[in-house]
Amino acid sequence: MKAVLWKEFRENLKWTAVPLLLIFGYMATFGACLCDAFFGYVSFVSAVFGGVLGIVQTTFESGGDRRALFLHRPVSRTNLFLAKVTSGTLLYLFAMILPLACYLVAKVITGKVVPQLPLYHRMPLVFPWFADGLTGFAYYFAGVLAGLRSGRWYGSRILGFPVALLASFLAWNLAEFHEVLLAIFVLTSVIGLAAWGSFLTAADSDSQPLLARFGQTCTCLIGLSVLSLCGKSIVDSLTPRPDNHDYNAYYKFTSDGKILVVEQLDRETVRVRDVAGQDWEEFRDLDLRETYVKLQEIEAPSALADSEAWHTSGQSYRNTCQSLIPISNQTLPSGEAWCFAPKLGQLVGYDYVNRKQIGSIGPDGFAPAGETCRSVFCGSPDYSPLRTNPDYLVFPDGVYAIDFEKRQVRKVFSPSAGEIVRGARNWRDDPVAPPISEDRKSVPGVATLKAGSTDQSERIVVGTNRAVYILDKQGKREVVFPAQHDPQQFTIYLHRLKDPQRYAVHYSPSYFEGLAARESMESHVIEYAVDGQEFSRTTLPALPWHKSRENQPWFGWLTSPAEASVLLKIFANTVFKTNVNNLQADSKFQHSFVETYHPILPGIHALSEGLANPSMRAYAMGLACNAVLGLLCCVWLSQRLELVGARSVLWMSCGILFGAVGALLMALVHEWPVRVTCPNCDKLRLVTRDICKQCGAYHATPSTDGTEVFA
Amino acid sequence: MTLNVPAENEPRSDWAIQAHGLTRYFGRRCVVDNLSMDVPRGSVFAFIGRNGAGKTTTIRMLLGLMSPTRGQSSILGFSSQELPTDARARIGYMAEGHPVYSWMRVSQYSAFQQGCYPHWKQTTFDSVIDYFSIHSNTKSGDLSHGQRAGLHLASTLAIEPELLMLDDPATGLDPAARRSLLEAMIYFTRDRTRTIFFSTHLLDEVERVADHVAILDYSVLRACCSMDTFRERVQQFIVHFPGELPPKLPEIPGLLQVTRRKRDLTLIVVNHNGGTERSLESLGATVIEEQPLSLEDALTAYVGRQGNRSLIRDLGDAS
Repeated sequence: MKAVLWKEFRENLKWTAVPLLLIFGYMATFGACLCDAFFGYVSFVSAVFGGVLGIVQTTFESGGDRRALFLHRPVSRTNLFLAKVTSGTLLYLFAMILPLACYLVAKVITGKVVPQLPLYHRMPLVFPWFADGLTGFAYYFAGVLAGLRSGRWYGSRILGFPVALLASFLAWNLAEFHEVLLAIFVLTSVIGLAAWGSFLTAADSDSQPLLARFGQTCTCLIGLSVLSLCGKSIVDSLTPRPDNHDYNAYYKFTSDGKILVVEQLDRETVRVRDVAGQDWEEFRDLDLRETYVKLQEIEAPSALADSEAWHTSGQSYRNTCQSLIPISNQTLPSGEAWCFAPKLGQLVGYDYVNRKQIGSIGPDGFAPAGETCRSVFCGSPDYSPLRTNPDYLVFPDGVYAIDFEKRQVRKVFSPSAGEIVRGARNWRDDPVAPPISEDRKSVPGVATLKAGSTDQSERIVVGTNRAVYILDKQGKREVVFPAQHDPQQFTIYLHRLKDPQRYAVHYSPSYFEGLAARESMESHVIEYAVDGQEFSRTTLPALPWHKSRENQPWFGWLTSPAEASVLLKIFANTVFKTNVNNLQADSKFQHSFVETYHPILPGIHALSEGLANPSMRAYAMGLACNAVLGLLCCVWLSQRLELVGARSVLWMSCGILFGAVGALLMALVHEWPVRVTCPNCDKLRLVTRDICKQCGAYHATPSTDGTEVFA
Repeated sequence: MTLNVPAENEPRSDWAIQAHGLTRYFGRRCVVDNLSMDVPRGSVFAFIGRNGAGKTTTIRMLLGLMSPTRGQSSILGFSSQELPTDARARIGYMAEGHPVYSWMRVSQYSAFQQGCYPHWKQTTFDSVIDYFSIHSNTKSGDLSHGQRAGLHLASTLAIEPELLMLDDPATGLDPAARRSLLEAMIYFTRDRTRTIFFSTHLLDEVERVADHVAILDYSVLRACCSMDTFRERVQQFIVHFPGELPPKLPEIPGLLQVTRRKRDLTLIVVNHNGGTERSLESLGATVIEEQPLSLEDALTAYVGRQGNRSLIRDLGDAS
């Protein structure tokens, strides 16, 4: 075993130079910024290196004399396989984990990334890196399987790679690190079992151990399902797109108080009309660019009086903001980086020019490095991973303004008892958003977005669960607009209108109410005078968010009942559930899934109406036909393979459940049944069976020609 | 040289190798058809056949490196498909083409093999590579074809095998290397307790060392017997005709080869009996005379038998 380990290690060591050069090269050039761009790069290198290593380690010894040379030695094949994959695993770890280990030693463990934070709270920053590195094992075993499994015309040897691709998808989209570890472990084990079986028997499926056959079956099933999903998405993307593709409509307020409906296709404004449906006069004959400029000119100044934490990636272990939230504003001196550490409940500062800690800031003020800041901010801050330069630090129990230069913290808003702050930001009269530039140097190892414009605002807008407040810069309340609708169900926007000067509070259906609910919920607009007196209410009709496409039901023909049940369950859970907590009800996985695959499902309305909807009926008919086709193919294959009893029933069930994919799976995991003519009954019989199924005769012995010499 | 002795509880039989109904298909092509044979312990067994006859496939199935489509085989008393590791340690195998790990130096190769085999004998290895003029510091990839065969032979003999399976060991070797290989085989079997099973195309090798022979004729085993039996059963006759030679011969049982020369026909026949003579006499043959036949010629005629076809005549017909 040791000798084989040594041989494998020496033979393949050279390959590790490539990923080491690629990753260290990237780190030397761009820095090891713990951001999605870097993690994406690591994922790509891991996948390619893992797959290539698996292939080169096995393919040259997968057949012929070289396989014989390797296998014919007094070591069990399982041990030979273990030696091979152990050395491959060690080489992979060496190549992929070495850069991570160097980074850990150089930055995280030595405390260059937020030293105030305990080590076990700093470590989650590198979890995405670790997860991406581990997904490479799935690609490694997929490579081993591809190298070992005998190729057939339908290319079943590549099916490990779609399974590995699924591992990558899950690593990027599951919320919790332990879930990712579990997913990678399960998928890698499944491919590993299939690879083990192929190694034992030179890919001869029928003589593999039961466990290996299970692994092979699972690998092929998952691989085919992933390919089926990807294939359908490709078919969808190649299908001519009707006019209503990616249709979207929303309300826009002009500064003089008019309400417009802006309709978009593929995120480009194609029509601006009034609420009654008439084309808006001023937008007639304008091209896209002119329409955009015109909308900017006439749009009323507005502010979101709500939480910004709408993006579900906030729930992902990949969101470094779970450990550190970079905070910056105009008072931030150059060379300093400040982060809010949720685990500490404080802001912590680092002087990256002089490479030293600055100190920490709590609600009661600043404490220099070496001293303990006793006060902590309560609750989770309102933040968005997409906008990490909030105007204020917003907590459920208050809004704080930070002056980093003066090391001061000031509470600008305190809610009344039972009131919870949902969001706060400066009122900006300029409707054009300031340009945002990426400033990677602000915090070593953590990507930061920094606003580029100066803050000239005079007012602060604060939204709570009970009201929307307008405050002056000192925090004095100027106007209060009590909430008229449930802020859990609606997103609240505040608009400032003129002629006469007044405010409009717009209650727009929340994204987290679910897609179907949003399409049926009305919007509400309440106008107030500058002194806060209400003087009008308007109810606006629901706007369509999404329109079904005509080709969607046809995907039923390409979908198996089992696949449809999984897809529809995830889809329904995501789009029809009631909103409980907009941060925790949806997972990033669900959203990514729905965003990717909703075009191949029958559409929201069809799903909500069930079989009463013609699209849903057509989709269900397609599913049924797919299942029948799968069943018929499995029956035919069962007869051809001469399967009887439970095995036959099992494969027929597989045909019904997985449709054409199930039939293909059955063909993949069995040797193709070669048949010859029976010498006794002249019917075709399997070459693998000693006795003819029809007549019980043995196979014909080779014909003699009188030259035989046997002692 | 000490023998790698089997354990007490291991199955013993008089046969080193047994195969029964061994069949292998590659797709729709049957490459080994219902092969049954027994290889006695202590024999030097030659396994002969033309290219593509199925020799290598058979050897791989016997060693458990490939599973048969149907049929079974055993080697040293163990089922080929479930060969235990200690039984495998007693079988030396020289694969066709002498594959090597080209990056390994000879000394590294020796260390690698030594790490796997419990009964490795370094002195044997050193003697053989010295005989083939191989330097231990040379990379395997830089060795000549003959030296690679020598390296393989060295590592095969150094494990002190009870059974030696050689798959076309002399392919590509020059006469000197071939002679060295034969000497090694003769040396290996001097105490008659070891078995050699080797496939080859070189029939003079067979005549020199083998005591049993099996002949595979495009997937079908046509002969499996001792060399003496083979010699007895394959005979050569000179048949004299007083007039013109008959343009076409009747169906002659066991006919392997026909050579025409003026008024004579030279026939090589297997399993000769009275029927052969009667067939020839019916054509007008006057004298039928048995001639001695060398084993190599007998084997050549047997292995290359396709009636009285020859390549030169086929090429002539084609032009």
